[in-house]
Formats: sequence, structure tokens, C-alpha cells
Amino acid sequence: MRGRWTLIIPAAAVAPASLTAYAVSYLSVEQAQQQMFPGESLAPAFVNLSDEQLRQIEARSGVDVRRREVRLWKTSGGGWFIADDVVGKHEFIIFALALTAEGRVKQLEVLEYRESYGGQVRETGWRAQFTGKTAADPVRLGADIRNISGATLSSKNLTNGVRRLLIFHDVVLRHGTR
Amino acid sequence: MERARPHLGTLVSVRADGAPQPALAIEAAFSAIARVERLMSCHDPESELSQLNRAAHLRALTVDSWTWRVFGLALAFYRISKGTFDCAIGARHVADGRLPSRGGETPEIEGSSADIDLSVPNRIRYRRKLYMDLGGIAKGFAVDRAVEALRRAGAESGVINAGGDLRAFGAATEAVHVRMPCDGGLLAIGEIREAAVATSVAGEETPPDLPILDGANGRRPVARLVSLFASRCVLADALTKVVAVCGESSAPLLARCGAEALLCERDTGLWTRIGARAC
Repeated sequence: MRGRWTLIIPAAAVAPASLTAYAVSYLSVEQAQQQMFPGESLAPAFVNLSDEQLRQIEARSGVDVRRREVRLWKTSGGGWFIADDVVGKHEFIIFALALTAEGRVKQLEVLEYRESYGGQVRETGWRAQFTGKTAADPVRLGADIRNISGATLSSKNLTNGVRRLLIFHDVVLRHGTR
Repeated sequence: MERARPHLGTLVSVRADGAPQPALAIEAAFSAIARVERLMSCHDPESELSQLNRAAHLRALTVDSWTWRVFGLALAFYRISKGTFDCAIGARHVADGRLPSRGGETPEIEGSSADIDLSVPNRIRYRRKLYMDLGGIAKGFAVDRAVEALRRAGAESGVINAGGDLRAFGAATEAVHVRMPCDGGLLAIGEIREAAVATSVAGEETPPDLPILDGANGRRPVARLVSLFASRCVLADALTKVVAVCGESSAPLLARCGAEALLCERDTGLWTRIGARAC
């Protein structure tokens, strides 16, 4: 099999880096619920963490809790569905975590991914070469910017977010009053 | 249908069109990627790769056929790049504290991929105490296996992107952008159809990726960005490292592999293309 491609010699930055943004939606909360717990019904069971719970979760997970409210659903089969998000240096990821009744990860899905480099831009050698030129061909957000190569995105924040929610399950759902 | 999940230390997105049951097709693709991750992660002490790095210098170990294939590819790339592409560079990453040491003896920095014995199918033995890091090749391999899984599930076209190692299959032509280091700006670099692209940045720290080192001498190459276009993602993934180290002198190798690279030298800011053109 022979691949086919056409290369473009980049002449100027597509857009000034400060304007570069990229977003993609994969699933809605409802779609994720149906996919992760097919045939089950889900009842909202949102939680507001107490000071003590928040302190315990932060201490045991090593991850900051940014919000007290946990968007939690209990499923008719005894499982749990949580919608949450993590913020990295450049990226914002909304994700859904499905847990078994015992608190084991059943599935993890990214619902929405957004990134923005605005305000984060530093002047560097690289930057000097590629920006400062005008936006000859502004980036259209959405469909045409979907295949991005280079500068591997770390999933560390997402991994940390899952750890925080597993500790949440242990502190609040397993040992709590629910 | 398109889905994204964290795998291989990055975010992996899978798009499948035309499959009779798209959700199942996407599940099969993620399973293939998870299998590669389970077998070949340096960071998981239970992976086959970690077991090999602990014990394969003592005795031959039986491994999954995929692990054996990736080792075979690693050895082939080591040979055709005359030692520039060398997964045994893991020993140097361990010595410099970038990869976890697995206890016991310190791996030998002098060891190379040439010290791997693959003479028996699905068995691997190291002739020296090596520390193999498949980070330069496993992601591309995983993308290729995921494409196979989508095709088997009846997908007519799709795209898999594992943190920038991406491959498109089917009739659709996909525009590809490259993310520039440091400022994160996006540049259009071309279009692919039934092809793969991988991008490497040499001479800069781009976490979570490990810095690219020349397998022949352990040195860091000059700063440059390379996007590699090839028929398969594993080829793009491995060759992008060779071009990142060797620059324009890797043109003959690319021509032999039917691959083409777009590279930008940091010093001059000039873009060039080398290798075999495909249109």
C-alpha cells in the first residue's frame, strides 16, 4: 500500500498564536450516560463536599479540588456516573467517568476538549520565526482543524482528575452516609 | 462518530465513518491501543517491556506477538538508520533520571538494539543488560493496529490521532496542521489520504515526550521540527526521529522507505522537504 499526501511549505503562521484555539465535542452528558450504562436509568445525586471531605480528598489524591459540587448520578444497577473537568496549562477537558458500585473504573470518555494558548504565549526563538507575520489565512475553528500533529498533549491532568474522583468515591460514597 | 480517551500518556482520538456499528468499531480500536499500552509501557512495572528490561538479559522471555513485532521493527529501524534510531537509548534516560529504573542492576549505556536476540518467534533475549524504551515507535504501531481494528469492524474511513501521530484511511482527504513548539500556534502542512504523519521536535524539551537523542552517540541533535509523511504510522513515528537527528542527510533513507519529510531548522527558520514525493 502506498500512502498519498501533499505537502505545503509553510510560508507564514496560519494565525497569530495568541488567537489559536481549538475545540472539539465528542459526546453530550446524556449520550455518555446511555453509552456507559446501556439500559439503566440514572438519577441525579449531586454532592456538595464538606470542608472535611474536601480536605481528605485533596490530602489522599494530591490533587486540588477546584469545585465543591460533584455532578454525580446513581444508576439503577448500583453504579455511578460522574461528569467532571480538568484544566491544564493550555487545555480544558470535560470528561465522564463511569464507576462500578465498588468504585472501580468502568469507563472513561472525553466529552469535550478545548484548548487556548491565549495569554500563555511567550516570546521565544521559535515564536519569533513563525509569528509576527500577519494572519494571512485565519484559522476557522472547528471542522478543518482536527488533525493536529506535533507537541504531544499530556494526559496527566486527566489521570489526576480520575484519581481525585476515585478518592471521592472512597471518602464520600463508600464510607460516607450515601 | 468520534471519541477520545487518554492512552499512551496522551489523548487519543478515534474517528470511524461507515461502520455498521460505529460504537463497536471505535471500541475495537481503543482495545488495540490499550493492548499496546499494556504490553509496551516503560512506566508500568507489570508491562511486558518492564519485565524484559528486568530479566531478558538473564533468560529468553516469551512475549505477546505484538511485542515481538515491535522489537523486530525497532531492530530493523536501528539497522537501516545505522544506529541513529536505537530504543536501547532508554539506559541513558534512566541514567539521567528521565525514566524509572527498575531496581537491580543498572542498565548498560553501551548496549544497543544490536544486542537483542529475536531468533525464536515470540521470544526475546537481551545479550546485555539493556533498557529498551519503545516510546519512539509504539505509538505509531498502536495507531496502525487501531486502523486495522476499524477496518475489520467495517469502517470505510477514519482518522486516528495519538497525540500527534496520526493516520487517515479511506477515501477522504484530511488536512493536517502542525503545532509549533513553545507558542502552540498551528500551521497547515498538507493533506493526507491513506497515509500517516508524525511530528518530532529535536533540541527542545517538549514534555511529556522525552528528548530525542542520537542513538549512535547519545547526543542531543540541533533544534529542528520534523513532520514525516509515510504510508504507515509506525514508519512515520520511527523515521521522524531519524530525520530529527540527521536532518537533510536522511533524504536517501526516506526515499528508500517511500516517505517524505518537512523540516524546519530552528537556526534559519527555513522549511525544506526531503525524501520521496507521493501524490
